[in-house]
Amino acid sequence: MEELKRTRRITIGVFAFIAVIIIGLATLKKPKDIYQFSPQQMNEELKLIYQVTPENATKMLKDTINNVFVDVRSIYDFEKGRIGNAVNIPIPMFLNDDNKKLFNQWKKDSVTVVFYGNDQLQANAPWMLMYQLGYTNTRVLLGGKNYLDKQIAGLLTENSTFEMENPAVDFKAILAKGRNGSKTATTVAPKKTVVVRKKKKKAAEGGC
Amino acid sequence: MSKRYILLAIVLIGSAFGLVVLPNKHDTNQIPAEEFLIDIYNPARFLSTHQVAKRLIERDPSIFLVDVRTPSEFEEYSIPGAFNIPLENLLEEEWADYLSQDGVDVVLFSNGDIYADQAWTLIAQQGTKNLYIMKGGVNQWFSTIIQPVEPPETAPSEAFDLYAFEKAASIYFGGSSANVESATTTPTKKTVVVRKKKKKAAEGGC
Repeated sequence: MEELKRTRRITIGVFAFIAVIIIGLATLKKPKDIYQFSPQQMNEELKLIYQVTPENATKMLKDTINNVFVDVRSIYDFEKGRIGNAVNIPIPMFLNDDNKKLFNQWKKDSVTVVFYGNDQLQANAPWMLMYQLGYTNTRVLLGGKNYLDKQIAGLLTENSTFEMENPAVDFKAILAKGRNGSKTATTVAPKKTVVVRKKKKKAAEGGC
Repeated sequence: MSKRYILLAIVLIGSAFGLVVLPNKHDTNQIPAEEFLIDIYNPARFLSTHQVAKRLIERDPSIFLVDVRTPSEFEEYSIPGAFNIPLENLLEEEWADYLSQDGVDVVLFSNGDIYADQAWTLIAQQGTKNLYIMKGGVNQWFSTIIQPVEPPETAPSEAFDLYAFEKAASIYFGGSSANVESATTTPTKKTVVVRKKKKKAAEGGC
């Protein structure tokens, strides 16, 4: 009799234990979106990825099966003008369930997704986020819509460039000229001294 | 009776195996993507060249400029008081305390916007606050602060007020629009003390 009671207690204990595990797993918080690339990995990826130049964009626009252009601007801006048959997904809506389904489908179909805004900057950070979330079939249109519109309209001049990181002028020469012109106006860029205190060694962590 | 014990033992061992094969928790220091998307969309992450110039002229100690261009570009020219951390080295451990300082606005810039925006995206997704981009970068700095262009006569008075500021700033920063005989500006050396964050208490245990 005593043995039977003990057995029952053990049985109940085992099932209670399993029930706790199941409840724990069921209520486990799962992140909705998982980063596939850490910031360090993404910094390396940035060196390897070729973005879409305006010249390539005009070719890609003709192949609507393998390429899709995504306008990241507001609906209002999109209605005013778009590139080709672009789809409008404003930045705040990127991670909506419906839009994620679209992105997943494009990824599955190996469709190249080209993000664009008015300029390159507008699409850059949203693209980085989506790429880090695993949508490696995405790219950014260099120069954005403004540059492509000018190119299509034939309004580009010799000095036009979509490379935003090129120095627009000779910084050194202009400053030298400025100093000569104003005779005594001098500005010396001070060297910045940064004092960083050494890190203390971490206390021992963990352990049983 | 012993059969029941064996059965219970199998159930427990089975559930233990189940826990062993659970996928590893994705341990990351990145903020949730949906939260980060809102940060990306927030225009407050940009500072204008005028805002930066004003704070530099006022010698605001709560601004820390970070030039993410290459060392050679930095040597050729940079904004007075800026500190150079090239984009490729930005995520190295030694710079973490420079980029995340309590009570200090860290402003990133490059020649244009893109490298600074890339830098911002890589750092901000780790939860770093008070991080900004100087919109337009050094190119915009030159076209507004160093070589400001006079607005057309029909422009509103605000544009002329801004132009007056730009001209004064140009003198301060040594631009060509300086048309004075005796203006001498030598910003003082700036020493930045990076405060260490408090260490977390030991974690873990059984």
